[in-house]
Amino acid sequence: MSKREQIIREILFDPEINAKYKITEEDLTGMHRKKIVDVLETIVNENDNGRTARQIYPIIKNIHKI
Amino acid sequence: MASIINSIAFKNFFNYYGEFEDNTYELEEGINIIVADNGAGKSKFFNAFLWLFYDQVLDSDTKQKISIKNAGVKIISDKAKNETAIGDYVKCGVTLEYTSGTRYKYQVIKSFTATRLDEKVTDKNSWQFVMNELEVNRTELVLHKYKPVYDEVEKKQIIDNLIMPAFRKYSFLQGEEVDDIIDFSKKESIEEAVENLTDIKSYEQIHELLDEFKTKAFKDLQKQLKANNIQNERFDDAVAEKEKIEQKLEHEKEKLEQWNETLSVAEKEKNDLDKLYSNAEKRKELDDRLKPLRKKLRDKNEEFENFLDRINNRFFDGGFAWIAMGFENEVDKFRELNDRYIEKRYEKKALKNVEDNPNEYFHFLPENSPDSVSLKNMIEDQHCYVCNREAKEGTPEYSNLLKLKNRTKDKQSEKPFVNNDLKNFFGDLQINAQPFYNKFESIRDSIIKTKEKEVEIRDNIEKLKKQIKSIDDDRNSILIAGHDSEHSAREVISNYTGAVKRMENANNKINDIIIPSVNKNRKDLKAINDEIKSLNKSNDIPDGFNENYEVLSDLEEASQKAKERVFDGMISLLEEHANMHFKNLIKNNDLSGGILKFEKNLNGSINFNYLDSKGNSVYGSAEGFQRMKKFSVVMAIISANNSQYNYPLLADAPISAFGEGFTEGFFEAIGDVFPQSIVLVKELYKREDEMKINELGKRLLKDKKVRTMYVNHVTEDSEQIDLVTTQTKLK
Amino acid sequence: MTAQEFKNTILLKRPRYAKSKIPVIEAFANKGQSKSEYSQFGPIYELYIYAFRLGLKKGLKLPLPPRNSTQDFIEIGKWKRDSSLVDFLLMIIFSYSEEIGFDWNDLEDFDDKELNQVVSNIIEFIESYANGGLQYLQEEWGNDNLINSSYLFADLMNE
Repeated sequence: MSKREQIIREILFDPEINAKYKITEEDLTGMHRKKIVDVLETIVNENDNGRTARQIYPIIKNIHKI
Repeated sequence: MASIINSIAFKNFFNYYGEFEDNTYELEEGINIIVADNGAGKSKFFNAFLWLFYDQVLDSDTKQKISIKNAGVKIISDKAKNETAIGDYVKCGVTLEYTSGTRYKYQVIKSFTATRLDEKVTDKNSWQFVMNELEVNRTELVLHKYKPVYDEVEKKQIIDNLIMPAFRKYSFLQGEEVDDIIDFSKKESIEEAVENLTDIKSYEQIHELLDEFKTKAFKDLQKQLKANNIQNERFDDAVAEKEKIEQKLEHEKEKLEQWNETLSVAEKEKNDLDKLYSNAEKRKELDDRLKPLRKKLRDKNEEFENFLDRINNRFFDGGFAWIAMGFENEVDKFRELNDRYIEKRYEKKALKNVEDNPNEYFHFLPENSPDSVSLKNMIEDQHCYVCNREAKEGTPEYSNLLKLKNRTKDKQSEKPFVNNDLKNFFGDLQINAQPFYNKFESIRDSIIKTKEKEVEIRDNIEKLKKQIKSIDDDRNSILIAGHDSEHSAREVISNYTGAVKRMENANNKINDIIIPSVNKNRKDLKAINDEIKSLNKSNDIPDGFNENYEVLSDLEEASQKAKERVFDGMISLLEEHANMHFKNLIKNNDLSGGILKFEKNLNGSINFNYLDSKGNSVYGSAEGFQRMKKFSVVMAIISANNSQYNYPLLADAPISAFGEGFTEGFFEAIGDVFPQSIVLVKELYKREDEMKINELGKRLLKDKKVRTMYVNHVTEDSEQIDLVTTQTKLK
Repeated sequence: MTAQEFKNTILLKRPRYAKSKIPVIEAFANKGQSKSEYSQFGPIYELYIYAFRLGLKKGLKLPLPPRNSTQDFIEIGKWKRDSSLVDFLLMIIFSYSEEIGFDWNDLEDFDDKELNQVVSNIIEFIESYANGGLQYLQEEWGNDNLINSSYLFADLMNE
């Protein structure tokens, strides 16, 4: 498991998140991801690629189509 | 891919006089021990590494690191300096060979050349310095032939690869610096250690981003609401309240930071004093024992002085009468003279009586004259036993007897028969002087007894002095901040308790007031945020904005918690490893049954305490013990690392501070963690021994884990300019 | 004279010492104050009596120099008052009546003038031997023959 994956899992499997959003394995690997998963993955990946907050935020907004 | 140092050599470097070949240490994987007595090159070893990595050395006078250029003269061997003629030059340098992995071996040479300008050997202005170019060579292990490396960047990399900068602090454990290296009272220190081992930084970054995004999302939301011109009084109020709470939270966080600062400072002070405290306590205990003993000694000395002074009193004191010694004859003579004198007196008196009363001459009483009782008898018996004839009542003989009887009474109030009646003069002398002449036999004894008493008092004094010295020696062997006074020990103890109090105070403030306040504000903030969220829902704005904010807000919280979990997880892991190593270290010691506990403070720093088997914290304990704690943590940091630690350890091991029980555990433990260790010790040195090492040294020599052992000698009784360190390879 | 009067005549006398002996007196009698490196007696009379004994036992009779080279000190009656020291001393001295030159019984017949003369002779006897003893001490001291210990005086008595 890559570091990225580890981080994402660690955050998403937080009890409160789980209770509210009900994340499953499917959500992490399958095609249809919940928005929250998308957002987090984006942040983690773009951060790894060295993008700044300014650059990442619009991408997130896009996920919500705003 | 471990780095293993193959050799280190010195050229005219401090006490290492001579060429590189003369001062080489060949080292191997595993444990290498260098036995170096004080002044025999111990700290110089560390200086060599300082030079190699940082172009610095530690100035022994100021205890500060200075650059090679500035240190210049001091580094060069005095003997070499002295032998350099004016106008001539001398070279000074260090070189090291190491193998990285299985393919390459490297050689690094750092040196400089100094030209002598005038006679003054130690003046730095008497020398001209030129730093030589850094030489780095590489060879394949298969074909051993060094080829120079030319690229400057590559050269630097090769040096760095020996021990990566981030890990150097864990590889160099020099004496007291061990304690400073892992200063877990500083939050940054533990975070740094944990950082090297986890991705905690990533979590931090993610969390920071999320925090920023959350704020942005909220602002976007607000803009939308304003843009849609929606009048929602409650919403505005809620937002205003939220801002107020956020401000309060900020404020409380600031206060928290300040108190944390106070706490850190006090904690650091306590930790520094911790080292001294255990010594100060012991010192104070010894001081308290010394005080009454010293007073007793003073009193005894006074007693002795007085005793000596009074010896001569014994000549004239009637109780001792030493002056009478040797006057036995005179006293006898006096008695003799007195007896004769008395006798003559009687004679005289009698003669006088005869002269005065010739008729009563028979009243002259010869010796053994009858006393009044006999006279009475004679009168009763009417018989004179003196002349042995009848003295019937009525006869002249009888009346003479009567007269005699009466006359003896009269004699008491008699007429003086001398001009000066000195009978009492002599009689009184004899009576009064008795204390002096009664003692003849005992005077010699008295003198002997006096001498004995003197010896006794002297012995008592010597005993006391020995007692005092022994305690004093103990006391002096306990270092305490370079001071040597009772005052200092008390100061340390009072500063220590002061720091502990301040810490308690700060902790109380933080835990009882600020943290609750922060938590309350956080709760309020959450509540208000929730309210705002629900208020948002009823607004007529695109869902996306709401969702955006909600998701980011939730992620922010989750990432914060994730970060903490990872951090705590790592601390647990460190604790586990630290205990593992600690157990090993104290294996041969009496301290079993206790554990190291890592406690996280609210301000983020870590305490690691030793809890005994009852769960009580053991504070302020002995220096060696403290060292062991730190060692355990250092090794835990290394072994908790997922990959193997691949760098050598260079350690100055104060075995005396550890205690024998720790020493064997120490070597075992480091052998497990470090692929190679170079350990400098002085306590194994024994001058009288043929091999110059003591029992423990010989035991270690036999140990399989110990691959090499060198003993450094410094030429004895040499002038500074002749000091040379030579090495003997024992293994 | 009565016995007491006779005794008083003696007790009122102030013996003399030679001024030349002052150094040794100062060295060995501290009069309750100074301390020298040597063992010391306290008051002068203690040293004087000791010196007298020393002289007597060693047979060192050394008459005093002319009067103006001498000095007196405290009267005999005050030597360790309230003790029997002086009585003992007188005992010793009177045992030497022959040497001093009188007979005990004759004393009883002497008139005051004659008795005073005997007392003078007694004092002279004391002074001469004390002087001899002091001389001896001074010489030994000067020649560094004295072993300085607390038992200096006791040891000297033994020699």
